[in-house]
Amino acid sequence: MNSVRTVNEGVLTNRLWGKVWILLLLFIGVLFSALFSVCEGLGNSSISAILAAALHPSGSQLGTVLQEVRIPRALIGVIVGACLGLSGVLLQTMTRNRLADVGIFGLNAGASFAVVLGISLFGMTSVSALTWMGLLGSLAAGACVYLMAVSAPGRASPTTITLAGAALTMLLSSLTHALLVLDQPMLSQVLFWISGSLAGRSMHALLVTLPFLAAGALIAVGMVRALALMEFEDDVAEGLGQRVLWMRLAAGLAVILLAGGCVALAGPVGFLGLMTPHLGRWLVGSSMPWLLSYSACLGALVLVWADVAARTVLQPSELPIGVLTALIGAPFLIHVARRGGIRS
Amino acid sequence: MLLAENIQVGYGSKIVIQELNLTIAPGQITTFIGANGCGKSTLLRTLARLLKPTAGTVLLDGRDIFKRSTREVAKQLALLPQTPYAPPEVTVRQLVRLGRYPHGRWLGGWSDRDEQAVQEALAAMKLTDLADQPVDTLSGGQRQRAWIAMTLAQETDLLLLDEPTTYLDLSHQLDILDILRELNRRHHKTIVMVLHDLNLAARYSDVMVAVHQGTVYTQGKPEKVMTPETIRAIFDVECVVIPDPVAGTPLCIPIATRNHEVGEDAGRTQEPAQARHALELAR
Ligand SMILES: Nc1ncnc2c1ncn2[C@@H]1O[C@H](COP(=O)(O)OP(=O)(O)O)[C@@H](O)[C@H]1O
Ligand SMILES: [Mg+2]
Repeated sequence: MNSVRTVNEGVLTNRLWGKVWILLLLFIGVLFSALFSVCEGLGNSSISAILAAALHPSGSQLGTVLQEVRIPRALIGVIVGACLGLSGVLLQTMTRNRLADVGIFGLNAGASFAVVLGISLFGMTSVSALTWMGLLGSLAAGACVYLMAVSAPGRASPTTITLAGAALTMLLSSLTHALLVLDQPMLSQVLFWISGSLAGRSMHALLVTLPFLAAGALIAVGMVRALALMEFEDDVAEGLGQRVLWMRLAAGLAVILLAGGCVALAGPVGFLGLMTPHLGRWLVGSSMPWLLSYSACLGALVLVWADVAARTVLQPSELPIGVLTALIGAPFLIHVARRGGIRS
Repeated sequence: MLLAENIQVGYGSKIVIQELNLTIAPGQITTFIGANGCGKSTLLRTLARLLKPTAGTVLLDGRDIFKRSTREVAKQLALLPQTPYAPPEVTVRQLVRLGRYPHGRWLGGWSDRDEQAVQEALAAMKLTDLADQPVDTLSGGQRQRAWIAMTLAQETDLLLLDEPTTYLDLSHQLDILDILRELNRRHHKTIVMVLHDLNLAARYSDVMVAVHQGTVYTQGKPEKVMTPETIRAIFDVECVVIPDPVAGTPLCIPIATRNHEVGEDAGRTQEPAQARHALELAR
């Protein structure tokens, strides 16, 4: 009743409506930010002109810019941000490791390796071809980690998964570096992808990855109840009727689909998957449906603004987006940590 | 209602339990005693369907427990593992609500029945006032009560607890054991647990099971199990057993481990003499 309220349960108290309102606000914030990202820097065109051009893009130069560049970019930012937020929660929960980032499955390393291979061996240049390579690379790496963990004794324990992921990441990164050293001219070509960016991503690339992302998100939503048990040890979860191994496999699959799709689309975006679950927990505690929806919104919000900053701060050159997610996110994370909201 | 038929259990190629037969008497408090590493936890986990025996079966209400789903079993049998861990933000209420997991549907939904079970479990463990506290900010005794409340919310007839009193001070050990006895007497729960304190085990159990080297050494009423011979066999400790002046149940007074007897120093001549003296006192 009059128990001391602590940061552990999230700053938004236990009252239902508080959480609903803030979630709604976050959602509106995401929409507004996406809109801002679309319109930003379009010179002196008025909002109404932009709207008209967006609705009837045929012909006008503004319409083409919106349709080919701005709208896909904002959309990809929202989707990648939300999916990284979701996969961060899934991953930290299933590995019981609050310091886990999506790189842990070897997904980023797998995607980078495949893209570098695509450019150097097959001379690929188009963004959609590289998106496919990234997707295949990350899925293959995820599957490898997964198989290694499952074939080890102990029901794919979180530690096995983490170790298998770390080992594969090391192996693939050194192979990638070897390829890059052997083929210096390629470096500049690859750099734009390997450092994470939303520049030049087409609607087509989004459509390629969307089924994977959607499948991952569906699994995540379907697991909402089971996820609440996954941070507890196996005996507790199994004793409460959870089929622990199956749930862990399902969660792993969702992470691979979500984060693999993201890295294929936008390259390795650092920090976001690590950070958003912590911000979410700070706001709403660890209650799963809330944490998932808050993390998704926060991820989208941070990524869209990071992208806006990435292309405006040092105009005309663009910064890697991972730098900006870290710049935007780190102060929040430090704040949360100092308030005692992060405990391992 | 719960019985193990000639089971053999192990981890990988290591066999821990062998040729073990055990029937858990319904409506009674059964306590496993035995040395560290003799297989008590392994046995409890096997009875709870967490480990599959390599031979033999575990029957729950006459049916093979491994032919039934985890969830179905979780509605009949609740398990409290040894010193379980709760993630940092989880509050007492959230923990207790997890007890409803096996009763729930796929995407959730929270029925009045669920809410009632949670409220009753909180009240029974005197945790209503602490319901919104994170579990990891509670004292050891409160934390253990929170975990027991979770198993109560499961609304099972059978309760399996692995060392529920370990790491608690004496008053909290008694507190937990009184609660368990109350659950047994008033709510007719069948309780199976592992305890390390032999004297408390003798005082609170209807049946004691002495586990030794992965099988049942002897079982029965505390008077039958708590004998110097059994204690010597399973713990390698010399002791005298006298009636507990408070409860009348057997009370074990240890004298020395037998290892000392074969030691090289003075203990060799001293301790048997001490033991004889103590025995005479006891008579
Ligand atoms: N997960 C495991 N993997 C391998 N061996 C185990 C595992 N758990 C327990 N053991 C072994 O099984 C034996 C019995 O352990 P346990 O049932 O925990 O004993 P107790 O609870 O009586 O102290 C010990 O020798 C222990 O080393
Ligand atoms: Mg044990």
